[in-house]
Amino acid sequence: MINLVSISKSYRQGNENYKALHEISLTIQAGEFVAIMGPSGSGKSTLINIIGFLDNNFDGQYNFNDTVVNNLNRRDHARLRNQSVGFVFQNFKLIRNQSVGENVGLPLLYAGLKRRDIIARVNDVLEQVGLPGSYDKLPKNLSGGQQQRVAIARAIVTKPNFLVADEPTGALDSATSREIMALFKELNQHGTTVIMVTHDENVARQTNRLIKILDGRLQSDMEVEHADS
Amino acid sequence: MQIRELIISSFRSLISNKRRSILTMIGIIIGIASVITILALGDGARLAMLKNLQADSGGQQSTQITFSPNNSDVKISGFNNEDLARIRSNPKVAKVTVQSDDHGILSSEGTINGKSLSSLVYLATSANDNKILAGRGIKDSDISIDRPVALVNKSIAKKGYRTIRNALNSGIEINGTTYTIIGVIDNNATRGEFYNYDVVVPRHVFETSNATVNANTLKLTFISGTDISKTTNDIKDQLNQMGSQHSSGSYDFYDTAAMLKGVTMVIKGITYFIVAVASISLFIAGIGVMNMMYIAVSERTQEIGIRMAVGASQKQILWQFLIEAVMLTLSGGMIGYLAGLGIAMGISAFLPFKASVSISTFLLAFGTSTIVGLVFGILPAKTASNKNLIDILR
Ligand SMILES: Nc1ncnc2c1ncn2[C@@H]1O[C@H](COP(=O)(O)OP(=O)(O)O)[C@@H](O)[C@H]1O
Ligand SMILES: [Mg+2]
Repeated sequence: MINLVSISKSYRQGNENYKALHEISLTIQAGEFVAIMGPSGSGKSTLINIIGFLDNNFDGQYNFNDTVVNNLNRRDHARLRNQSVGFVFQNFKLIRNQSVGENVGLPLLYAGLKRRDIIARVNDVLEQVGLPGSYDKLPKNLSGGQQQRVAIARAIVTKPNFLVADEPTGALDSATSREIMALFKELNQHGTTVIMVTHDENVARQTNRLIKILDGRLQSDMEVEHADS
Repeated sequence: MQIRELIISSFRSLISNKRRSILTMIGIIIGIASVITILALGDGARLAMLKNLQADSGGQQSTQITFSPNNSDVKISGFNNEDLARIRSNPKVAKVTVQSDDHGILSSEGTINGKSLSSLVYLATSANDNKILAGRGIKDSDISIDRPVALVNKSIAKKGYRTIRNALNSGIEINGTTYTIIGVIDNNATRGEFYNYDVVVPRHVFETSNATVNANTLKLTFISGTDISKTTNDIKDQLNQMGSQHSSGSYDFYDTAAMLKGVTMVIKGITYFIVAVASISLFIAGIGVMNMMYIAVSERTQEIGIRMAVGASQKQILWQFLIEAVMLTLSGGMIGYLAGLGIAMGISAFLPFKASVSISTFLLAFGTSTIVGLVFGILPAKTASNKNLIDILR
């Protein structure tokens, strides 16, 4: 599904170019549950932003199914982002003065759906992430774990091909982290591809594949051995 | 995303910043309100003037000079044949008609077979069959027993009943009394040399209907292209110097046209001034809108990032902020429009004409405020839509 060929990315820092990714090649199949680990500043977010269609400014080739992502213009890139990926951020990134339901329905609004259809779909998804009946609540009245569930609901509302999460448990305590991981696991077991950046060994251990990054280079890529399997 | 959703979300973000939105709108409100006020008044004055200057059916314009005696008890005629001959010699005057009670001729309103007419009525005190074409004249017996009978001229008969024969024994209403037409007279029936009349009725019958009539009024009709105010004034001055009754009363010309022209000129002058001031006001208001939108864009950078991250295109972000700016100015414009109309109505209560409400001033307010929103909203909206997603989300 996802095929990166020799991806490099440089940032301008002042007058210099800082190379955050060095010729990364990577293939991810549909249905995988992937963890990306590495020290701070190693380029995890940079990589996952490219994979999740947030950043189209890089060298190398990105094939997504039959689409060459790096050839898309800004509008088509935005459409792909809207329809094919769900993004979950560390700090939830919910619009504060909009209700939970409106936040979750936002991608559908940009997809051009009718309000009535959006509301029905949003309520379904909220139930799926364990927040039934919270359409009209405001995000600030929810706990961190609940807010992350809202963010996950927003990510899956368009039934995207894959989910991308950048340290989704980074701002949560360990008990809440476990709940959120359980939710991701469940989504993956129902067929959703999940790619997740994490700092936490315990989190990474629950995935099926672990990719390690150091200084913008792939360090290792291996299957995760589960104690129970 | 649908336009409806864009409008709803713009409206909500304006509402959530109520105070800031209202403060930003004030400039627009003042600008639009002042322009609408002055335009509504100017339009009203112009319409009133047009109505007063309206040419008659022949494209000719007419004025009236009235004579008022110093001693209102005496009945004297302000215009004699000599006066009329002198006025008629003025090459710009097409027609002179005296409407004078002293010659038994009055200008009067009436209807014939449902059609209204204004005619010169000769009030007969004795038998009259002058210039009769058909039917019979008024007899002494008609007068002595106050029979409501009338002679009408050929054109009135035809206007009412198409043919002379139909008109005979039909009715005509004059000043509220209905008369039976017993005879038809020639169109140029006159008393003396200048006193045309169209209709003859018995005086006593007419007077019992308590008619209000113009006495001592001279009606002047001019050839087209004449400066009627000036010419009438000249004739009036001449009459006051050497008119037959210049020593026992005064000849007056109430120039409604000139008065309205004056008002219109003043309003026109004020209009230019107000429009200039309002343009500056709108410009400054526009800068205010731009400023507010820039603040909104930078305050809501995170929101913009989130919207982009879930798939909003640049165009959709641009429209969101543009529509927000336009809604702001448009609401201001509509409030300003209503305020302007209110003020204009208030002012015109003290003026001799009514402020006019027209669709064009509404469109002007609508258009101007929309344009201000578009012009001053486009740059902030561009800034919003050009934001770099990666930089926002970092
Ligand atoms: N927008 C940016 N502009 C400049 N430098 C950046 C930007 N984003 C990341 N970097 C740099 O790129 C490197 C990798 O960053 P990042 O991908 O965020 O690392 P990680 O997510 O693994 O902590 C870091 O050194 C960071 O300073
Ligand atoms: Mg990071």
